[in-house]
Amino acid sequence: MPAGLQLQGAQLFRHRLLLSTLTGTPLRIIDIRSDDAAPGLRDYEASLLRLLEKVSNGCVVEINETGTKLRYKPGLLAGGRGLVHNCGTSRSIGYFLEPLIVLGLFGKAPLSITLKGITNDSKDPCVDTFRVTTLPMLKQFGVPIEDVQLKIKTRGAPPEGGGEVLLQVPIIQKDLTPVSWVDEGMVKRIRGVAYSTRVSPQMSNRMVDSARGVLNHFLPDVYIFTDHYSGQGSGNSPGYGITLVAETTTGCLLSAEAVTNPVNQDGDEKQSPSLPEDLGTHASRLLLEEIKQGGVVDSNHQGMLFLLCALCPEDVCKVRVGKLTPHAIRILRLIKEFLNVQFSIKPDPETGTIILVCVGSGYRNVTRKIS
Amino acid sequence: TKLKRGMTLMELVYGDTQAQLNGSDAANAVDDSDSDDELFKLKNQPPKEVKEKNNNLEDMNADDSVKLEMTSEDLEIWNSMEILESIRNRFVTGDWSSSARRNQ
Repeated sequence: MPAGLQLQGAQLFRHRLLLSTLTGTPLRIIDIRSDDAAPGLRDYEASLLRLLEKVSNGCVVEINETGTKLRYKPGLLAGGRGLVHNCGTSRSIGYFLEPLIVLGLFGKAPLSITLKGITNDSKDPCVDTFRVTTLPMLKQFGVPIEDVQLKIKTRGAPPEGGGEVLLQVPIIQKDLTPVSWVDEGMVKRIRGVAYSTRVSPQMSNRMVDSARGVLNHFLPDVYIFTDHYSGQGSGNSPGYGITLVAETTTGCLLSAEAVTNPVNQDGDEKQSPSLPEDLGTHASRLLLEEIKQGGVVDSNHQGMLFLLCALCPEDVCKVRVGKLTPHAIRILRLIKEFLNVQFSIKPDPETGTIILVCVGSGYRNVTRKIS
Repeated sequence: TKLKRGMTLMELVYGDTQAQLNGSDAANAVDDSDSDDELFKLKNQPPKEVKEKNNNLEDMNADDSVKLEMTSEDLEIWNSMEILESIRNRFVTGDWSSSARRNQ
């Protein structure tokens, strides 16, 4: 087992644990929000640790009394069927899906897990985005996409949640396929989902109308499904939102989303538009921002793209993205630390995009062989 | 994440600040050096806006979220027909030859 790493603070909590688990590197995190008025781990971080215990065998988690120090000794990634995890209501299911999808690929057995909690909120990508953009992205890396599934059983809007999704991820038999993914193509169609739960189904139609109003300026081929939930399957709180995805001639998928604020909200939370018309417009403009950037993935997926590239065999990966997000930059640093993979990052002045090239770390699904 | 003058992307991502990030107490200490490096903020400042906090690359406790917060004010520029037309060629309804040139 490689020597352990000591890191500071709460940033990139999920990715630190993810990379620690994948590489079998014991991890110590200190100073977790130690200057904060409420120091230590948050509910959702504790929940993530419990989730890791469920999908792996023999991992050890030690936390000090104030929750500002964590020691994590990764176990073997087991995967498995019929798992259930309650994500709570402090963060949405999307928070857990991001690391879980990558973990699932490198397990001993295929992963099939039911996640309960909030399906759509404004802090993390919502489950619709995972379904239409994140999971299809795995195909580029040679993941058998027909075995990947995310089924939304019930919706759960914040603050009370009550949603449920079923995630199925196959295992990688040997390793990922390196990508040379630089042709972003031209946007040929736009699809989307406007959902509403415990409110009038008319909300979905209003979001669709305003989104089309913006997007039809560019394309006639805009189709947004409406997805209304009532009675069973509608979760514990009212809510509505919209997810849009632009598909290019080269098969790139760029997504954007907007979700209404929960009814009772803390005063210090930032307000975003809550009229369905405003949400439709907001999501469409966010999508235009992503299209303007000209990357092969949208800004929310940069980090995962880089991570997958770094987990490829020792071969060259080349990708094009738009402006690097702060989160993606932190991930690039973390990748260097755990996998010793450094990207060459060069701007492409002609298009205003950025080309990243790396040689994969030669990561293999080692867990599978032990069985 | 604004690039400072003369700073390459490689330096922005993998530059010296990396050492500060993971170093033992460097990032923890109150920055009393008089280098006016705006990346370092004093500790115990009044709480900043979440957005600003997350854009500060050296914040050890930055929120773990991939989403870039954008307000509807940030997106107001899309009211302008000129801005809209500027991305026309990113769609199949635009000029294909300009897109072909992009990928040469």
